[in-house]
Amino acid sequence: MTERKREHFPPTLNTWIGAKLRDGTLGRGEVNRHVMEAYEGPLRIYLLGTSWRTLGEPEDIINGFLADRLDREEFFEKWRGSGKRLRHWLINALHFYLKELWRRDKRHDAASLNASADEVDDAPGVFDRELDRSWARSVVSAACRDAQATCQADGLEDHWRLFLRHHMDGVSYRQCAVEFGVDPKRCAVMVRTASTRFREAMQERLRKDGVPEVELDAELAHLQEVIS
Amino acid sequence: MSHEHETISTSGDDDPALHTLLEIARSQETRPTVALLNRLKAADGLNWLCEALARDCDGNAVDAEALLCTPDGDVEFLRTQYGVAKQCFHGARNSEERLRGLLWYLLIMAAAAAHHDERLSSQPAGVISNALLELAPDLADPWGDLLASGALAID
Repeated sequence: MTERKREHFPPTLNTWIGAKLRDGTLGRGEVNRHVMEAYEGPLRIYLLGTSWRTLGEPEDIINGFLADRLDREEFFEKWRGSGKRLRHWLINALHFYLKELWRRDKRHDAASLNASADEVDDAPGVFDRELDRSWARSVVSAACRDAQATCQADGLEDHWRLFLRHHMDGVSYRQCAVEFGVDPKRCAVMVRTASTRFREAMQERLRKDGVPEVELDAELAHLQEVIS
Repeated sequence: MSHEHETISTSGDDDPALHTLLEIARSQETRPTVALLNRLKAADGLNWLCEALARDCDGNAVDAEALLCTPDGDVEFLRTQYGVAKQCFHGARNSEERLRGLLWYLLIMAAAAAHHDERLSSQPAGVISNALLELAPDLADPWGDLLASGALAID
């Protein structure tokens, strides 16, 4: 690993993923499950938006890709050295995998492979942006599930329902208060509690993707910008 | 749950809810209302509140409770002080002054809406009522009640 890469060592490897990997086989299994759960959807949506989609069923391709790469001992070590967000590391790896699939297909000759490879490698930023767009939606959805689970575990089901009614459905506090039979001030407190759970869940998801603590807000601003 | 629904669609185009959720996920520490909340929750928060409300934004001694918490308050005075508080908030030389301006700004908006049926701000109703209700639970009464009443009158 070069000194430059060391400087960009993703702090997340010192946290959740790093700790899990140090746990051995069980921890590695947990990391793999997290990657499949968090990235399968965005990668599939991304694939559907590229010319590579003609290679086969997107679901089969992505599942095959994840099974192949996550089985490689050194996969996360290489990510560690890249300094990239995990999603961007995965998209790069996916492109290599797609080229491998292409090579295996005897219908394509080397000339057309090179043309396709050049096309892909020319503008990685564009592909990152496309992935970010679908990933933003996916990670928010996953964070909602996480937050809902922690609310349920702590007996805060109504807090979470109020959060959704107010922020997702756009129902006013006054109307929420009527629906839930609590006064508006209490409504505001309950929504604030659920908001905190959601914020924590979302930030934890970003940390697992390799976003350093000090860049969390900037990353969220970036995601807001790419979906606009 | 009576309101079972998918938290957010994983397909389709941009939607306002996605923006809202990403905004909520951002650290809230730099938001002015959060800074005010933190000031009020500090050990000397109650003293700070009393001192902040002892004088209006022009520096004159006032009975803030009579002015803001009853329909007897002079609405014209509220309109004038709304502008001064806003100026104090935006143009303050230090954070304490800025938070004092924000406190008066929010209380005046709440009082005008709750007791005089008047909307002083042109910002969307939801934005104002959310800001008022965000502070209401942590503010001692009668101020907490005033913010909640104002939020309901605006919402």
